[in-house]
Amino acid sequence: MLLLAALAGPALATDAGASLSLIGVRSSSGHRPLHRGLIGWARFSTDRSFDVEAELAWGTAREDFLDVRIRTHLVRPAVSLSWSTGTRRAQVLGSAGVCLSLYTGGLDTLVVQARPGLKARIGVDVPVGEAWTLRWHFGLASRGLTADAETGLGLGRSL
Amino acid sequence: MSPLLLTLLACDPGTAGRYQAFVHQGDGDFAAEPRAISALSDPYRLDGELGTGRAGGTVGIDWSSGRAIYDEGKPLTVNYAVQDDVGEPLDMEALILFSLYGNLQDARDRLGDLDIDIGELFPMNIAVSPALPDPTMGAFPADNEAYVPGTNTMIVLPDLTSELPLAANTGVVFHEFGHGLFHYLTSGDVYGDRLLDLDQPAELTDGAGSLDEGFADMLGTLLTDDPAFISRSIVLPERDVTGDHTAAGVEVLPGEFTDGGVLATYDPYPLGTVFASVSWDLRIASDDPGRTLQWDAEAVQDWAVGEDLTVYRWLDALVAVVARDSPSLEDDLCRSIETRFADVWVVEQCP
Repeated sequence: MLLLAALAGPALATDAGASLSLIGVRSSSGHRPLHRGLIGWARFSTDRSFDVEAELAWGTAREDFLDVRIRTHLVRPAVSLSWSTGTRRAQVLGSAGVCLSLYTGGLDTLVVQARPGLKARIGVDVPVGEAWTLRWHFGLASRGLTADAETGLGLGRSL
Repeated sequence: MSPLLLTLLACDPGTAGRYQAFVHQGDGDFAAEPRAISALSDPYRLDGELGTGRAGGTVGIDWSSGRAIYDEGKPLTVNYAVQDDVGEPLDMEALILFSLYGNLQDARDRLGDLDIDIGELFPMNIAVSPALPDPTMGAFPADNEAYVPGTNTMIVLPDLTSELPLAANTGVVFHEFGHGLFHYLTSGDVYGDRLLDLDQPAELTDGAGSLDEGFADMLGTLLTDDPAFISRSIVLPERDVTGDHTAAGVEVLPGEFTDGGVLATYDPYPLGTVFASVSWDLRIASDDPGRTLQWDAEAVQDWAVGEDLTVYRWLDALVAVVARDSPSLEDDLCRSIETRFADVWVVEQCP
């Protein structure tokens, strides 16, 4: 994050928002059971050709058999460099950066597994009124040697 | 919900003394608790003495030879952490996979205790969610468990639809392992051809299919001492071997299914359950499930080397084995066969 800040130079928050999201978290046998959650983001403009985007994703899922329950949570902060292009009617976004995945699960104990990784995302922003923006996004994030996928739809607001 | 463990960076958590797994409680119930799985040397890859798990891959049929083939998939990356020397599954699939491996270890150990030869069945392939030739299984991927003879592959489809996943159900894993044991006992080669290929008369191949299912149920019932082992996962009262199952009550017997068209398949389970019910009757009479399974296995071997592979000849072989080993049980066994196979088969040795 410090490196990104150094790259970006002075920054000013321009917009922020949140989306309802589905995160496909890679399981032991390679499936990606969906975790429902939220992703919040804030974008900072810089004096470079790119912006910096900070993001916090959270997703959760629950599986039950007999009297056994495993509830898993994934919390993933990320910092990315982002670019956008388009018209006043729609902006196409792309971003790439680093993330840290905090994954919890377990039966009788709470285990927190921390794995660094890389994250890339594409998205589309469509202005809704003067200050609001509708955003759809799709991203991939590595988590150790595995990778998760996520998508979401949400609202952003100019600051 | 504590203590808290933080694992940073390390992808492979290493081994543990015990692993959380579904464990059969002896009364037909199951509970998740730590258990030793000493055969599991690399939990992260589900690898050890009993075999190696792979994700995906393909199980298919070589149509030129009719043999099953298995193209293995990618290595598994089991999601768990080690805490207080216990392997803690971090998702339900890890819990199911640890349960499966523990169940396979129990199958090996219990059959070893009974001196039943299992040949080179271990290490076996463990295919987790492979692509399958059966389009119905592909279109409707349900929780399932299967064994593919000739490739020595255990298939696990861990989609989460059952009360207790089949791969975590000890009796079901014993049942599927029983197919591997049946293949070995009848063909003498874990990776060899089946005793009867598809060119044989349907009466023989259908019958062998039923005995295969019945013998697999014998492992499931006798090694768990639970006559309805499958019921914890799926409600199937017709597979409970304490029921009044008779061969005369089976809708279609081997060789009778001749006009069903190209998609017609013989259902081996009903007659298989009748065979397994005879075995359970013998278990009740002998009060010794282990000894009963030894007799069952010996009879399978004797039947397979006989000149007449009519499936009911297995009953003849079983009576001969029991009469030789424990003559006092012969009458009980004969009564069971006379009841369950009335109007279908008569064992000449029975009075």
